[in-house]
Amino acid sequence: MKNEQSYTEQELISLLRSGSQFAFERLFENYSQKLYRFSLSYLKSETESEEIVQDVFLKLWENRDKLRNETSFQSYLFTIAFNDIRKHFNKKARDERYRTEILEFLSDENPAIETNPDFETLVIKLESLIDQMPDRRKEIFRKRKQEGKSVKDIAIEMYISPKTVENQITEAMNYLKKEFGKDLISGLLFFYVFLD
Amino acid sequence: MKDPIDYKILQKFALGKYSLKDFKLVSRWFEDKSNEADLKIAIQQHWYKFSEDFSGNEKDLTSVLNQLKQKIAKERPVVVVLFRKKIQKFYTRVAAILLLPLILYSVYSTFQKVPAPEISSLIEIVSPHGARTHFHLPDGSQGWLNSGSRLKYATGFLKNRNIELIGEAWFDITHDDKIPFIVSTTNLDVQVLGTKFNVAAFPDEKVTEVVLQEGKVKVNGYNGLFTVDMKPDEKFTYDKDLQSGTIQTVNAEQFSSWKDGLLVFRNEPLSEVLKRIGRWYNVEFVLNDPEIAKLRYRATFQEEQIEEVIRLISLTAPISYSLNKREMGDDGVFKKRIITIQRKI
Repeated sequence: MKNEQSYTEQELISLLRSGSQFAFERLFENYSQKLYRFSLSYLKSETESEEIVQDVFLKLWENRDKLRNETSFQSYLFTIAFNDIRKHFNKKARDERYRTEILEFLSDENPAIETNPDFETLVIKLESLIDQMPDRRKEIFRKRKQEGKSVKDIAIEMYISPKTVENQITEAMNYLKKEFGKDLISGLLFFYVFLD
Repeated sequence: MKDPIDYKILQKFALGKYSLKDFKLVSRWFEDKSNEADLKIAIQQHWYKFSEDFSGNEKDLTSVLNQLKQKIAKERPVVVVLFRKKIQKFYTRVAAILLLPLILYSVYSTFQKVPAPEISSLIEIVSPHGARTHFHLPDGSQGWLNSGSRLKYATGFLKNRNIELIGEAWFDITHDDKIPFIVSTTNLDVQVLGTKFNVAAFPDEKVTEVVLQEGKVKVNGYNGLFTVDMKPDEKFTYDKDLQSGTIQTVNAEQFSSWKDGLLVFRNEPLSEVLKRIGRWYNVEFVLNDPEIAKLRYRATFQEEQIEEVIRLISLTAPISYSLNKREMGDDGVFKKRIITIQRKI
Protein backbone atom coordinates (compact mmCIF):
# COMPACT_ATOMS: atom_id res chain seq x y z
CA MET A 1 0.00 0.00 0.00
CA LYS A 2 1.37 3.30 -1.08
CA ASN A 3 -0.09 5.49 1.58
CA GLU A 4 0.97 3.54 4.57
CA GLN A 5 3.89 4.84 6.48
CA SER A 6 6.74 2.40 6.21
CA TYR A 7 8.06 1.18 9.51
CA THR A 8 11.37 -0.55 9.83
CA GLU A 9 11.23 -4.20 10.71
CA GLN A 10 12.77 -3.39 14.08
CA GLU A 11 9.96 -0.95 14.86
CA LEU A 12 7.33 -3.42 13.74
CA ILE A 13 8.78 -6.13 15.93
CA SER A 14 8.88 -3.97 19.02
CA LEU A 15 5.30 -2.85 18.25
CA LEU A 16 4.28 -6.47 17.88
CA ARG A 17 5.90 -7.31 21.17
CA SER A 18 3.64 -4.76 22.85
CA GLY A 19 0.63 -6.43 21.22
CA SER A 20 0.05 -4.21 18.20
CA GLN A 21 -2.25 -5.82 15.69
CA PHE A 22 -1.25 -3.14 13.25
CA ALA A 23 2.36 -4.34 13.32
CA PHE A 24 1.15 -7.93 13.08
CA GLU A 25 -0.67 -7.13 9.86
CA ARG A 26 2.33 -5.33 8.37
CA LEU A 27 4.53 -8.33 9.13
CA PHE A 28 1.93 -10.58 7.58
CA GLU A 29 2.01 -8.42 4.44
CA ASN A 30 5.80 -8.61 4.35
CA TYR A 31 6.24 -12.33 4.89
CA SER A 32 3.06 -14.25 4.09
CA GLN A 33 3.78 -14.58 0.37
CA LYS A 34 7.28 -15.88 0.89
CA LEU A 35 6.11 -18.27 3.56
CA TYR A 36 3.29 -19.53 1.36
CA ARG A 37 5.51 -20.16 -1.68
CA PHE A 38 8.17 -21.75 0.47
CA SER A 39 5.71 -24.16 2.11
CA LEU A 40 4.18 -24.94 -1.26
CA SER A 41 7.54 -26.00 -2.63
CA TYR A 42 7.77 -28.76 -0.01
CA LEU A 43 4.16 -29.70 0.60
CA LYS A 44 2.84 -29.36 -2.97
CA SER A 45 -0.59 -28.49 -1.62
CA GLU A 46 -2.18 -25.03 -1.65
CA THR A 47 -4.53 -25.71 1.25
CA GLU A 48 -1.80 -27.13 3.43
CA SER A 49 0.49 -24.22 2.59
CA GLU A 50 -2.23 -21.77 3.60
CA GLU A 51 -2.56 -23.70 6.85
CA ILE A 52 1.16 -23.31 7.43
CA VAL A 53 0.92 -19.54 6.91
CA GLN A 54 -1.95 -19.31 9.36
CA ASP A 55 -0.29 -21.55 11.89
CA VAL A 56 3.06 -19.79 11.79
CA PHE A 57 1.52 -16.35 12.21
CA LEU A 58 -0.75 -17.52 14.99
CA LYS A 59 2.27 -18.91 16.84
CA LEU A 60 4.11 -15.68 16.14
CA TRP A 61 1.26 -13.77 17.80
CA GLU A 62 1.02 -16.11 20.75
CA ASN A 63 4.76 -15.91 21.37
CA ARG A 64 5.14 -12.22 20.54
CA ASP A 65 6.60 -11.41 23.96
CA LYS A 66 9.49 -13.77 23.28
CA LEU A 67 10.62 -11.91 20.16
CA ARG A 68 14.03 -10.33 20.38
CA ASN A 69 15.31 -8.33 17.43
CA GLU A 70 15.44 -8.13 13.69
CA THR A 71 18.32 -10.53 13.08
CA SER A 72 16.59 -13.34 14.86
CA PHE A 73 13.15 -12.58 13.41
CA GLN A 74 13.75 -14.22 10.03
CA SER A 75 15.27 -17.29 11.63
CA TYR A 76 12.54 -17.36 14.26
CA LEU A 77 9.90 -17.32 11.54
CA PHE A 78 11.79 -20.02 9.69
CA THR A 79 12.07 -22.25 12.75
CA ILE A 80 8.32 -22.22 13.35
CA ALA A 81 7.72 -22.81 9.64
CA PHE A 82 10.25 -25.63 9.46
CA ASN A 83 8.73 -27.55 12.35
CA ASP A 84 5.27 -27.10 10.85
CA ILE A 85 6.32 -28.14 7.37
CA ARG A 86 8.11 -31.17 8.78
CA LYS A 87 5.01 -32.27 10.67
CA HIS A 88 2.77 -31.83 7.63
CA PHE A 89 5.27 -33.50 5.37
CA ASN A 90 5.54 -36.61 7.52
CA LYS A 91 1.79 -36.94 7.77
CA LYS A 92 1.52 -36.55 4.03
CA ALA A 93 4.25 -39.10 3.36
CA ARG A 94 2.37 -41.57 5.58
CA ASP A 95 -0.85 -40.95 3.66
CA GLU A 96 1.02 -41.35 0.39
CA ARG A 97 2.72 -44.54 1.45
CA TYR A 98 0.32 -46.91 -0.31
CA ARG A 99 0.86 -45.06 -3.58
CA THR A 100 4.65 -45.18 -3.32
CA GLU A 101 4.41 -48.85 -2.40
CA ILE A 102 2.31 -49.65 -5.45
CA LEU A 103 4.61 -47.64 -7.71
CA GLU A 104 7.62 -49.34 -6.19
CA PHE A 105 6.05 -52.72 -6.82
CA LEU A 106 5.37 -51.73 -10.43
CA SER A 107 8.93 -50.52 -10.85
CA ASP A 108 10.21 -54.08 -10.35
CA GLU A 109 9.05 -54.69 -13.86
CA ASN A 110 9.59 -51.18 -15.19
CA PRO A 111 12.62 -49.68 -13.45
CA ALA A 112 11.99 -46.40 -15.26
CA ILE A 113 9.08 -45.75 -12.89
CA GLU A 114 11.48 -45.23 -10.06
CA THR A 115 13.69 -42.73 -11.85
CA ASN A 116 11.06 -40.94 -13.89
CA PRO A 117 11.59 -37.30 -12.90
CA ASP A 118 7.89 -36.53 -12.80
CA PHE A 119 6.71 -38.40 -9.76
CA GLU A 120 3.72 -36.08 -9.37
CA THR A 121 2.33 -37.05 -12.76
CA LEU A 122 2.83 -40.73 -12.00
CA VAL A 123 0.78 -40.36 -8.84
CA ILE A 124 -2.01 -38.61 -10.71
CA LYS A 125 -1.93 -41.36 -13.34
CA LEU A 126 -2.07 -44.05 -10.67
CA GLU A 127 -5.06 -42.42 -9.00
CA SER A 128 -6.96 -42.07 -12.24
CA LEU A 129 -6.24 -45.71 -13.11
CA ILE A 130 -7.54 -46.85 -9.72
CA ASP A 131 -10.58 -44.70 -10.26
CA GLN A 132 -11.30 -46.38 -13.57
CA MET A 133 -11.52 -49.85 -12.01
CA PRO A 134 -14.95 -51.51 -11.67
CA ASP A 135 -16.60 -50.28 -8.43
CA ARG A 136 -16.34 -53.52 -6.48
CA ARG A 137 -12.71 -54.12 -7.40
CA LYS A 138 -11.89 -50.52 -6.59
CA GLU A 139 -13.51 -50.84 -3.17
CA ILE A 140 -11.62 -54.01 -2.30
CA PHE A 141 -8.36 -52.60 -3.65
CA ARG A 142 -8.63 -49.39 -1.63
CA LYS A 143 -9.57 -51.21 1.58
CA ARG A 144 -6.53 -53.41 1.22
CA LYS A 145 -3.93 -50.94 -0.03
CA GLN A 146 -5.08 -47.54 1.19
CA GLU A 147 -6.70 -48.44 4.48
CA GLY A 148 -4.39 -51.41 5.09
CA LYS A 149 -7.10 -53.85 6.11
CA SER A 150 -6.40 -57.58 6.10
CA VAL A 151 -7.83 -59.88 3.45
CA LYS A 152 -9.81 -61.68 6.13
CA ASP A 153 -11.38 -58.49 7.50
CA ILE A 154 -12.37 -57.31 4.04
CA ALA A 155 -13.95 -60.70 3.33
CA ILE A 156 -16.06 -60.52 6.50
CA GLU A 157 -16.97 -56.89 5.91
CA MET A 158 -18.15 -57.48 2.35
CA TYR A 159 -19.70 -60.96 2.80
CA ILE A 160 -17.34 -62.58 0.28
CA SER A 161 -14.70 -65.31 0.49
CA PRO A 162 -11.07 -64.40 1.20
CA LYS A 163 -10.22 -66.07 -2.09
CA THR A 164 -12.39 -63.56 -3.97
CA VAL A 165 -10.64 -60.68 -2.20
CA GLU A 166 -7.25 -62.01 -3.20
CA ASN A 167 -8.34 -62.57 -6.79
CA GLN A 168 -9.67 -59.04 -7.08
CA ILE A 169 -6.43 -57.57 -5.77
CA THR A 170 -4.33 -59.66 -8.15
CA GLU A 171 -6.56 -58.56 -11.01
CA ALA A 172 -6.17 -54.93 -9.98
CA MET A 173 -2.40 -55.15 -9.79
CA ASN A 174 -2.18 -56.86 -13.19
CA TYR A 175 -4.33 -54.13 -14.67
CA LEU A 176 -2.07 -51.44 -13.24
CA LYS A 177 1.05 -53.21 -14.50
CA LYS A 178 -0.41 -53.44 -17.98
CA GLU A 179 -1.55 -49.83 -18.08
CA PHE A 180 1.71 -48.48 -16.72
CA GLY A 181 3.64 -50.58 -19.27
CA LYS A 182 1.62 -49.02 -22.03
CA ASP A 183 1.93 -45.55 -20.70
CA LEU A 184 5.56 -45.71 -19.99
CA ILE A 185 6.56 -45.86 -23.63
CA SER A 186 4.62 -42.74 -24.48
CA GLY A 187 5.44 -41.32 -21.07
CA LEU A 188 9.16 -41.72 -21.49
CA LEU A 189 8.97 -40.26 -24.93
CA PHE A 190 7.26 -37.28 -23.42
CA PHE A 191 10.02 -36.75 -20.89
CA TYR A 192 12.81 -37.13 -23.36
CA VAL A 193 11.25 -34.60 -25.67
CA PHE A 194 10.33 -31.99 -23.11
CA LEU A 195 13.02 -32.18 -20.46
CA ASP A 196 16.45 -30.73 -21.12
CA MET B 1 20.51 -45.18 10.24
CA LYS B 2 21.59 -41.71 9.29
CA ASP B 3 22.02 -40.88 5.65
CA PRO B 4 23.57 -37.63 4.44
CA ILE B 5 21.30 -35.07 2.84
CA ASP B 6 21.87 -34.50 -0.84
CA TYR B 7 21.20 -30.80 -1.27
CA LYS B 8 20.72 -31.17 -5.03
CA ILE B 9 17.96 -33.72 -4.65
CA LEU B 10 16.27 -31.59 -2.02
CA GLN B 11 16.41 -28.61 -4.35
CA LYS B 12 15.02 -30.64 -7.24
CA PHE B 13 12.24 -31.80 -4.97
CA ALA B 14 11.37 -28.22 -3.98
CA LEU B 15 11.27 -27.24 -7.64
CA GLY B 16 8.90 -30.12 -8.41
CA LYS B 17 11.29 -32.17 -10.56
CA TYR B 18 11.71 -35.43 -8.69
CA SER B 19 11.30 -39.13 -9.09
CA LEU B 20 9.83 -41.80 -6.83
CA LYS B 21 13.37 -42.54 -5.73
CA ASP B 22 13.96 -38.88 -4.82
CA PHE B 23 10.66 -38.72 -2.99
CA LYS B 24 11.56 -41.75 -0.90
CA LEU B 25 14.89 -40.18 -0.01
CA VAL B 26 13.34 -36.84 0.95
CA SER B 27 10.66 -38.58 3.02
CA ARG B 28 13.36 -40.47 4.87
CA TRP B 29 15.27 -37.26 5.67
CA PHE B 30 12.11 -35.67 6.98
CA GLU B 31 11.07 -38.65 9.04
CA ASP B 32 14.37 -39.55 10.62
CA LYS B 33 14.77 -37.68 13.91
CA SER B 34 18.56 -38.00 13.84
CA ASN B 35 18.61 -36.07 10.58
CA GLU B 36 16.56 -33.16 11.85
CA ALA B 37 19.40 -30.72 12.49
CA ASP B 38 21.05 -31.35 9.10
CA LEU B 39 17.75 -31.08 7.32
CA LYS B 40 17.02 -27.82 9.08
CA ILE B 41 20.30 -26.33 7.94
CA ALA B 42 19.74 -27.45 4.35
CA ILE B 43 16.21 -26.06 4.23
CA GLN B 44 17.25 -22.87 6.01
CA GLN B 45 19.74 -22.18 3.23
CA HIS B 46 16.89 -22.54 0.82
CA TRP B 47 14.75 -20.18 2.91
CA TYR B 48 17.33 -17.38 2.83
CA LYS B 49 17.88 -17.79 -0.90
CA PHE B 50 14.18 -18.10 -1.58
CA SER B 51 13.17 -15.33 -3.90
CA GLU B 52 10.66 -12.84 -2.59
CA ASP B 53 9.86 -11.72 -6.11
CA PHE B 54 6.84 -13.59 -7.37
CA SER B 55 6.54 -11.36 -10.44
CA GLY B 56 3.11 -10.04 -9.51
CA ASN B 57 1.79 -13.56 -9.26
CA GLU B 58 0.74 -13.21 -5.65
CA LYS B 59 -1.50 -15.65 -3.90
CA ASP B 60 -4.53 -14.03 -2.33
CA LEU B 61 -4.10 -14.66 1.39
CA THR B 62 -6.75 -12.22 2.61
CA SER B 63 -8.95 -14.99 3.99
CA VAL B 64 -6.00 -16.36 5.96
CA LEU B 65 -5.39 -12.93 7.45
CA ASN B 66 -9.07 -12.49 8.29
CA GLN B 67 -9.18 -15.81 10.09
CA LEU B 68 -6.08 -14.85 12.01
CA LYS B 69 -7.66 -11.54 13.02
CA GLN B 70 -10.71 -13.38 14.33
CA LYS B 71 -8.59 -15.80 16.32
CA ILE B 72 -6.54 -12.98 17.77
CA ALA B 73 -9.64 -10.98 18.65
CA LYS B 74 -11.14 -13.99 20.39
CA GLU B 75 -8.05 -14.51 22.45
CA ARG B 76 -8.47 -11.35 24.50
CA PRO B 77 -11.83 -11.56 26.30
CA VAL B 78 -10.91 -14.99 27.64
CA VAL B 79 -7.82 -13.59 29.27
CA VAL B 80 -9.78 -10.73 30.81
CA VAL B 81 -12.42 -13.05 32.29
CA LEU B 82 -9.84 -15.31 33.89
CA PHE B 83 -8.05 -12.31 35.27
CA ARG B 84 -11.19 -10.90 36.83
CA LYS B 85 -12.09 -14.18 38.43
CA LYS B 86 -8.69 -14.43 39.99
CA ILE B 87 -8.88 -10.91 41.32
CA GLN B 88 -12.29 -11.56 42.79
CA LYS B 89 -11.10 -14.61 44.65
CA PHE B 90 -8.09 -12.78 45.88
CA TYR B 91 -10.11 -9.84 47.09
CA THR B 92 -12.66 -11.98 48.88
CA ARG B 93 -9.84 -13.36 50.96
CA VAL B 94 -8.25 -10.00 51.49
CA ALA B 95 -11.63 -8.54 52.38
CA ALA B 96 -12.21 -11.21 54.98
CA ILE B 97 -8.89 -10.49 56.62
CA LEU B 98 -9.31 -6.75 56.48
CA LEU B 99 -12.91 -6.63 57.62
CA LEU B 100 -12.23 -6.58 61.35
CA PRO B 101 -9.56 -3.86 61.39
CA LEU B 102 -11.75 -1.90 59.00
CA ILE B 103 -14.70 -1.99 61.39
CA LEU B 104 -12.40 -0.95 64.21
CA TYR B 105 -11.01 1.88 62.13
CA SER B 106 -14.43 3.15 61.07
CA VAL B 107 -15.56 3.17 64.68
CA TYR B 108 -12.40 5.06 65.57
CA SER B 109 -12.69 7.53 62.70
CA THR B 110 -16.28 8.47 63.44
CA PHE B 111 -15.03 9.95 66.67
CA GLN B 112 -12.26 11.83 64.92
CA LYS B 113 -12.66 14.95 62.84
CA VAL B 114 -11.71 14.11 59.28
CA PRO B 115 -11.15 17.00 56.89
CA ALA B 116 -13.53 16.97 53.92
CA PRO B 117 -11.84 15.79 50.72
CA GLU B 118 -11.37 18.30 47.93
CA ILE B 119 -14.41 18.06 45.71
CA SER B 120 -13.54 17.51 42.10
CA SER B 121 -16.35 18.43 39.76
CA LEU B 122 -16.72 17.74 36.07
CA ILE B 123 -17.01 20.44 33.46
CA GLU B 124 -18.72 19.53 30.24
CA ILE B 125 -18.78 21.35 26.90
CA VAL B 126 -21.55 20.23 24.58
CA SER B 127 -22.02 21.03 20.92
CA PRO B 128 -25.61 20.26 19.88
CA HIS B 129 -26.52 18.54 16.63
CA GLY B 130 -26.18 20.80 13.66
CA ALA B 131 -23.90 23.27 15.47
CA ARG B 132 -20.17 23.84 15.96
CA THR B 133 -18.83 25.21 19.21
CA HIS B 134 -15.64 27.10 19.87
CA PHE B 135 -14.06 26.31 23.24
CA HIS B 136 -11.26 27.63 25.47
CA LEU B 137 -9.58 25.52 28.14
CA PRO B 138 -7.98 26.77 31.38
CA ASP B 139 -4.42 26.10 30.08
CA GLY B 140 -4.91 28.41 27.10
CA SER B 141 -5.57 25.62 24.62
CA GLN B 142 -8.55 26.10 22.38
CA GLY B 143 -10.41 24.44 19.58
CA TRP B 144 -13.68 23.56 17.96
CA LEU B 145 -16.20 20.95 18.94
CA ASN B 146 -18.18 19.48 16.07
CA SER B 147 -21.91 18.82 15.84
CA GLY B 148 -23.21 16.24 18.33
CA SER B 149 -19.98 16.06 20.34
CA ARG B 150 -18.98 16.67 23.94
CA LEU B 151 -15.84 17.33 25.97
CA LYS B 152 -15.40 16.63 29.68
CA TYR B 153 -12.69 17.56 32.13
CA ALA B 154 -12.30 17.74 35.89
CA THR B 155 -11.55 20.86 37.89
CA GLY B 156 -8.01 19.62 38.51
CA PHE B 157 -7.41 20.00 34.78
CA LEU B 158 -4.34 22.24 35.06
CA LYS B 159 -2.50 19.55 37.00
CA ASN B 160 -2.93 16.76 34.49
CA ARG B 161 -4.41 18.29 31.30
CA ASN B 162 -6.62 15.27 30.74
CA ILE B 163 -9.78 15.68 28.69
CA GLU B 164 -12.40 13.20 27.56
CA LEU B 165 -13.88 13.43 24.08
CA ILE B 166 -17.03 11.86 22.72
CA GLY B 167 -17.43 12.80 19.06
CA GLU B 168 -15.20 15.05 17.00
CA ALA B 169 -13.01 17.98 17.95
CA TRP B 170 -10.14 19.99 16.56
CA PHE B 171 -7.50 21.03 19.09
CA ASP B 172 -4.87 23.75 19.14
CA ILE B 173 -2.87 22.87 22.24
CA THR B 174 -0.69 25.27 24.23
CA HIS B 175 2.82 23.92 24.57
CA ASP B 176 3.83 22.58 27.98
CA ASP B 177 6.89 20.34 28.32
CA LYS B 178 6.03 19.21 31.82
CA ILE B 179 2.39 18.30 31.50
CA PRO B 180 1.38 16.44 28.37
CA PHE B 181 -2.13 17.08 27.11
CA ILE B 182 -4.15 13.87 26.86
CA VAL B 183 -7.37 13.37 24.92
CA SER B 184 -9.11 10.18 26.00
CA THR B 185 -11.67 8.45 23.80
CA THR B 186 -13.44 5.12 24.11
CA ASN B 187 -10.69 3.20 22.34
CA LEU B 188 -7.53 5.23 22.55
CA ASP B 189 -5.61 8.14 24.07
CA VAL B 190 -3.89 10.91 22.14
CA GLN B 191 -0.92 12.31 24.01
CA VAL B 192 0.60 15.67 22.98
CA LEU B 193 2.89 18.42 24.19
CA GLY B 194 1.68 21.21 21.95
CA THR B 195 0.19 20.90 18.50
CA LYS B 196 -2.85 21.08 16.22
CA PHE B 197 -4.85 17.97 15.48
CA ASN B 198 -8.30 16.57 14.86
CA VAL B 199 -9.90 13.61 16.66
CA ALA B 200 -13.11 11.91 15.57
CA ALA B 201 -14.39 9.31 18.03
CA PHE B 202 -18.13 8.90 17.70
CA PRO B 203 -19.50 6.10 19.85
CA ASP B 204 -21.80 4.79 17.09
CA GLU B 205 -19.00 4.50 14.56
CA LYS B 206 -16.59 1.59 14.46
CA VAL B 207 -13.55 3.69 13.65
CA THR B 208 -11.72 6.36 15.64
CA GLU B 209 -9.66 8.81 13.60
CA VAL B 210 -6.79 11.06 14.59
CA VAL B 211 -5.45 13.55 12.04
CA LEU B 212 -2.31 15.50 12.88
CA GLN B 213 -1.89 18.96 11.40
CA GLU B 214 1.21 20.27 13.19
CA GLY B 215 3.75 19.02 15.74
CA LYS B 216 3.86 15.53 17.17
CA VAL B 217 1.39 13.28 18.94
CA LYS B 218 1.47 9.80 20.40
CA VAL B 219 -1.61 7.63 20.06
CA ASN B 220 -1.93 4.95 22.73
CA GLY B 221 -4.37 2.06 22.65
CA TYR B 222 -5.75 0.87 25.96
CA ASN B 223 -4.02 -1.97 27.80
CA GLY B 224 -0.88 -1.32 25.75
CA LEU B 225 -2.63 -2.61 22.63
CA PHE B 226 -0.58 -0.28 20.43
CA THR B 227 1.48 2.91 20.45
CA VAL B 228 1.86 4.99 17.32
CA ASP B 229 3.93 8.15 16.87
CA MET B 230 2.32 10.40 14.31
CA LYS B 231 3.86 12.96 12.01
CA PRO B 232 2.10 15.97 10.47
CA ASP B 233 -0.33 15.24 7.64
CA GLU B 234 -0.92 11.72 8.80
CA LYS B 235 -4.22 10.11 9.60
CA PHE B 236 -4.43 7.22 12.04
CA THR B 237 -7.58 5.14 11.82
CA TYR B 238 -8.38 2.61 14.54
CA ASP B 239 -11.00 -0.01 13.80
CA LYS B 240 -12.47 -1.28 17.06
CA ASP B 241 -14.05 -4.37 15.45
CA LEU B 242 -10.83 -5.52 13.82
CA GLN B 243 -8.75 -4.09 16.68
CA SER B 244 -6.30 -2.77 14.16
CA GLY B 245 -5.01 0.58 13.00
CA THR B 246 -3.69 2.06 9.77
CA ILE B 247 -1.72 5.19 9.01
CA GLN B 248 -2.27 7.19 5.85
CA THR B 249 -0.76 10.35 4.49
CA VAL B 250 -3.48 12.95 4.03
CA ASN B 251 -4.01 16.64 3.67
CA ALA B 252 -4.67 17.35 7.35
CA GLU B 253 -6.40 20.69 6.88
CA GLN B 254 -9.15 19.06 4.92
CA PHE B 255 -10.15 17.09 8.00
CA SER B 256 -10.52 20.16 10.16
CA SER B 257 -12.18 22.38 7.58
CA TRP B 258 -15.50 21.72 9.31
CA LYS B 259 -14.49 24.22 12.01
CA ASP B 260 -14.44 26.97 9.38
CA GLY B 261 -17.90 26.08 8.19
CA LEU B 262 -16.61 24.20 5.18
CA LEU B 263 -17.32 20.64 4.15
CA VAL B 264 -14.42 19.47 2.02
CA PHE B 265 -14.25 16.14 0.21
CA ARG B 266 -11.26 15.05 -1.80
CA ASN B 267 -11.67 11.79 -3.67
CA GLU B 268 -13.76 10.22 -0.94
CA PRO B 269 -16.34 7.47 -1.36
CA LEU B 270 -19.98 8.46 -1.21
CA SER B 271 -20.46 6.41 1.97
CA GLU B 272 -17.91 8.63 3.74
CA VAL B 273 -19.34 11.82 2.20
CA LEU B 274 -22.84 10.98 3.41
CA LYS B 275 -21.60 10.04 6.86
CA ARG B 276 -20.01 13.43 7.31
CA ILE B 277 -22.91 15.36 5.79
CA GLY B 278 -25.27 13.42 8.05
CA ARG B 279 -23.29 14.39 11.11
CA TRP B 280 -23.12 17.99 9.96
CA TYR B 281 -26.80 18.49 9.29
CA ASN B 282 -28.10 15.93 11.78
CA VAL B 283 -29.82 13.81 9.18
CA GLU B 284 -29.68 10.09 8.54
CA PHE B 285 -28.92 8.65 5.13
CA VAL B 286 -30.18 5.30 3.90
CA LEU B 287 -27.99 3.86 1.16
CA ASN B 288 -28.42 0.19 0.34
CA ASP B 289 -26.47 -0.01 -2.89
CA PRO B 290 -22.85 -1.01 -2.24
CA GLU B 291 -21.82 -0.06 -5.78
CA ILE B 292 -23.03 3.50 -5.33
CA ALA B 293 -21.36 3.72 -1.93
CA LYS B 294 -18.00 3.34 -3.66
CA LEU B 295 -18.44 6.33 -6.02
CA ARG B 296 -15.74 8.91 -5.35
CA TYR B 297 -16.40 12.57 -4.72
CA ARG B 298 -14.53 15.83 -4.86
CA ALA B 299 -16.50 18.77 -3.55
CA THR B 300 -16.51 21.74 -1.18
CA PHE B 301 -19.67 23.01 0.47
CA GLN B 302 -19.99 26.18 2.49
CA GLU B 303 -22.95 27.09 4.68
CA GLU B 304 -25.45 25.48 2.34
CA GLN B 305 -28.89 24.07 3.11
CA ILE B 306 -29.03 20.28 3.27
CA GLU B 307 -31.49 20.19 0.36
CA GLU B 308 -29.05 22.17 -1.77
CA VAL B 309 -26.09 19.96 -0.82
CA ILE B 310 -27.88 16.74 -1.66
CA ARG B 311 -29.23 18.24 -4.89
CA LEU B 312 -25.68 19.16 -5.97
CA ILE B 313 -24.42 15.66 -5.22
CA SER B 314 -27.20 14.07 -7.22
CA LEU B 315 -26.34 16.28 -10.21
CA THR B 316 -22.85 14.85 -10.46
CA ALA B 317 -23.60 11.16 -9.85
CA PRO B 318 -26.12 8.61 -11.14
CA ILE B 319 -28.19 8.81 -7.97
CA SER B 320 -31.60 10.07 -7.01
CA TYR B 321 -32.83 10.86 -3.53
CA SER B 322 -36.01 11.23 -1.56
CA LEU B 323 -36.39 13.48 1.45
CA ASN B 324 -38.67 11.87 3.99
CA LYS B 325 -40.77 13.87 6.41
CA ARG B 326 -39.47 13.92 9.96
CA GLU B 327 -41.31 11.45 12.09
CA MET B 328 -42.45 12.00 15.64
CA GLY B 329 -40.97 9.50 18.11
CA ASP B 330 -42.85 7.89 21.00
CA ASP B 331 -41.47 10.51 23.32
CA GLY B 332 -43.00 13.33 21.26
CA VAL B 333 -39.63 14.45 19.94
CA PHE B 334 -38.94 14.60 16.23
CA LYS B 335 -36.58 11.92 15.00
CA LYS B 336 -33.71 12.60 12.63
CA ARG B 337 -34.73 13.32 9.09
CA ILE B 338 -34.13 10.33 6.84
CA ILE B 339 -32.87 10.75 3.27
CA THR B 340 -32.95 7.71 1.00
CA ILE B 341 -30.39 7.44 -1.79
CA GLN B 342 -30.85 5.13 -4.75
CA ARG B 343 -29.41 4.48 -8.16
CA LYS B 344 -30.91 6.66 -10.86
CA ILE B 345 -32.96 4.53 -13.23
